[in-house]
Amino acid sequence: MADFYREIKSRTATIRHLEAKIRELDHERQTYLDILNTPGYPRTIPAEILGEIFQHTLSGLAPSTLPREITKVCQVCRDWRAVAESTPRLWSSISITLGKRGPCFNKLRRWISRARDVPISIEIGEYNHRKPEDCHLLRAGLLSQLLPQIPVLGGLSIHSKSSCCVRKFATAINAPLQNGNGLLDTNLRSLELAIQELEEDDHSSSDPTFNLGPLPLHSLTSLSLCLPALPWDSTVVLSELPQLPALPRLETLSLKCDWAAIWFLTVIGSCKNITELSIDFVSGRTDLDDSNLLPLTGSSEHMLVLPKLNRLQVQNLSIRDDHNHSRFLRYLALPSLNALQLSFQDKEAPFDEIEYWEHCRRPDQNDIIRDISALIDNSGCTATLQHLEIHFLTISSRGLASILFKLPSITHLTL
Amino acid sequence: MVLLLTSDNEMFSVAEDVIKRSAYIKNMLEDVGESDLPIPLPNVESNVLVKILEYCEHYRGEPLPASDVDPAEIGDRSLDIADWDQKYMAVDQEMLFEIILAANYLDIKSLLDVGCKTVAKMMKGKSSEEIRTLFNIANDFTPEEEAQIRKENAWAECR
Repeated sequence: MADFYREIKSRTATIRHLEAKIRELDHERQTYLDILNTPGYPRTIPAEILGEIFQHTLSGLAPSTLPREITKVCQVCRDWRAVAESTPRLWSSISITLGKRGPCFNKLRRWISRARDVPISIEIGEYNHRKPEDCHLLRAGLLSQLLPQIPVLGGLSIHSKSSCCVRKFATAINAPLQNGNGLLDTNLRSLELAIQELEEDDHSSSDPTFNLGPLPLHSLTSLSLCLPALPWDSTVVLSELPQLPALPRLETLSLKCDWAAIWFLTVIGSCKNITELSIDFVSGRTDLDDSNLLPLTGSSEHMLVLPKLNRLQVQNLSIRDDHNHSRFLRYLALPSLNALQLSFQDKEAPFDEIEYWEHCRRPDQNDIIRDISALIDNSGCTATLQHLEIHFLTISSRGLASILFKLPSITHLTL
Repeated sequence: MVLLLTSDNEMFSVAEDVIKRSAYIKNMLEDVGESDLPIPLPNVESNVLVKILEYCEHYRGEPLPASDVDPAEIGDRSLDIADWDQKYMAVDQEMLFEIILAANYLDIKSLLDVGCKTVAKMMKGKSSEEIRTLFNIANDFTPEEEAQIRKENAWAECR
């Protein structure tokens, strides 16, 4: 009898298992029927258009949020996952914040492979270390495991605590391997550096070029530098500050720091073919001593000429008498200038409020209007300049009229 | 004038400079030359063509985009849509996707771009489940597969 009960129990278990399997298959069948019977308009859209929609959906997002957002798209349904995985541009940005734990290279390899031959942009953030030798940028895995996976590196963005780490990282990147190639054997198009602290060694190096080691800068079309403040008591001279090699292909240059104006002019002078220039003087401490600047440009007849520049944006211009940054404009000649945006420091400027309002009451007594006029005259851009924006400057109607009189071509004015 | 014959057999007579915004028609007219025969559009219904012609009429006279410019190459990925285009695209979902399909078939890049941006804006900030609901898409993943997708894209930190 016991055998019979055992057999019955066994058969019952089998029946239960099969019933569960039937329910599962029934559920799957119903899912497929639902797919066939629901309108599901996006499913009628060709894959390449759906991929285009995905790219628009993910546009403008910070690279660090991309994995989460792409996952959302991939989890909608199998079709969408297949389309997303076969749209290389979705996988062409990587953002890594280095800490104690590094990225998971196995998973990252799969991500990179989906970008196929589309140039990849990498953003690396590294802030949490006390000594340069603890820098996570120099972690062996990052260099040896990540970089060889990337077929075409289009853009590199490094946000680092110290300039010393960036320099060592750059040197390590191009250290030749046993096969003679560097880890980064490519034509870099875009480079962004944001450095929080300048190591002492870095502004007294004998290296005449920017202390980035042998990073392949020659093919750059876009460069952005956000550099740390020099010490208050700094007496650094131009030859001691890091400089750039000539970058003839550069189109877009962005500089954000409060280093000496002569340094700005020297750097800009290395990039004669730029079409867009953005300068942010940050704290307004930038030294604008004419006696320093004149040897660079020679005289008023020897302007720094940027023949292709059509957009100039200058932020945090100081309006203090002893730091009148707009004087900087006198040294530029921009014959193709189309858009000029000047943003002065607002009333948060580091001098007292009474002084500020005193200043505002006599705006034309300083040289600002004359400096803007000088830029226009020196550039000969009266026929090309169409967009003018001036922010945080109290300007008299007479002063404004004297500028506008020179600009019959202007179509957009923002004050 | 150019004659167009839709999939539901309606005939439209359209000014040549209006319909030349369609690279498909423009190329056909250049290849075939002047003809009294209508151009068949087997993938476009009359109600959709009316909408397409409204767009072409609005942009009549504006310069045609260069045919060899790939929007992906110039990196135009912003979701900015002109005011008139936004109002034009304020249609039900079925019509929106019909416009996109027709713009793709007729090769009207600017309209296709506006259509893609409109759909992208609808999706922006939504969860997978909300997107499924929005477009009436059935979830054909098992919970294990969904978890797997999450896992394989989580490369930021190794655990």
